Amino acid sequence: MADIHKLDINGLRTDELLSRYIDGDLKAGALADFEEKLANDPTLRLRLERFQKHDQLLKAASRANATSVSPLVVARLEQAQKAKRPSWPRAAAGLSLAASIAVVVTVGLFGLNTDLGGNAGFQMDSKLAAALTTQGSRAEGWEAIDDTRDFRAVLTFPAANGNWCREFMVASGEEHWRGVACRNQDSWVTQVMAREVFLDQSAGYRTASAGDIDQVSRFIDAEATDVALSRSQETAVIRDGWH
Amino acid sequence: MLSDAQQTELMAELLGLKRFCLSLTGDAADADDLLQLTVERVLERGMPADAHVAKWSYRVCRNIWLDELRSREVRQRYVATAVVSEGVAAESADDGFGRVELERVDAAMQTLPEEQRSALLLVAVEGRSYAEVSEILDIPLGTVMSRVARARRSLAEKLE
Repeated sequence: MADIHKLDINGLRTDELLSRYIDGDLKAGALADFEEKLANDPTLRLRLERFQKHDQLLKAASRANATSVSPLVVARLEQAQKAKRPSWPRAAAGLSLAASIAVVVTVGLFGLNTDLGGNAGFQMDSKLAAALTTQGSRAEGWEAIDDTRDFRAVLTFPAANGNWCREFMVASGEEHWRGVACRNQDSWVTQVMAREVFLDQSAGYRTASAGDIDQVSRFIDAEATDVALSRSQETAVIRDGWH
Repeated sequence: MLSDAQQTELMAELLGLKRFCLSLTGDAADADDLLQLTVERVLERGMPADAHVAKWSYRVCRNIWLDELRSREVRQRYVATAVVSEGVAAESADDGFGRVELERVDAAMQTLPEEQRSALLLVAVEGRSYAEVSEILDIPLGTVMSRVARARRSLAEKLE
């Protein structure tokens, strides 16, 4: 068998042609010429086969070397996919010293749900609607809307039906609510509300239904057709009366 | 911020990026670090709406490697026989290669200069065109051709 390593001084040039041939980089005339050369040179054909076999080995070894990606990296990407938020910091960062878990008490889909347990904290009324209509989103701080409730708009996003929706928070004493309301003609309709239960180290752990966690975020993920409005975009929408 | 489509594409590229990280670092732990830094950098800085997600991400990865990890004087591990891997299967039924063969090619790759290793990986394993590799590695097309050919030539010598 010919010693395929004892190539002539143009050996590297030949290897480069072989390499380009394997990678589909030779075109037209150069390709035809090289294929003719291959047809007439068994040593060259043998070297081609070696290169191709080594490529297959390399692919197999590389796949074996990298069968998975660190869960931390995957989790980071998934976190980024969920967090379609405005550029200012998330409101939740200012809320809790410990973690918080949302407990869904009602879920509605583009229809006013009045069965809200009689809690004034989250019933849609004129004062809450006015706050949704006029207040810009913010990362921290609250605006009192009456003697018992504070309000914070979190973000604004477009829904599939072309209506504007807003994620917002309402605090009433020790009760904190997070929800989404969407415009329906000239009114705001609550779509989903969740009561946030805080895991406070001093008060102890409070249980929540694992299946209800983050229903608000999942609603937004399902209904939003684009990322949240920027501050300037939102200001313009508020100025235009939500049209 | 990345768009939904870009984030989805990036997720799909993670394994390829990891293999690229391995080709650059020659070490599994360093490769994991490099991949994590790459994802963080891409998420933090985003990319143009019309950017090719894979090419952009590979370039970010390489730039991080050049700027940050080399500054920490991470030595390339040119180990003739040791294999850094997550475990090569005793028998690779799908590929038809045995563990010994796969370990040999792994070891041979580790002896190549990093620039040849990464060029060959991008072309032969990740299926990138020479033009794409030229953009990713920020080298002329001719240099891509030369590095890939030299890598194959060296592998052939070591695997005989």
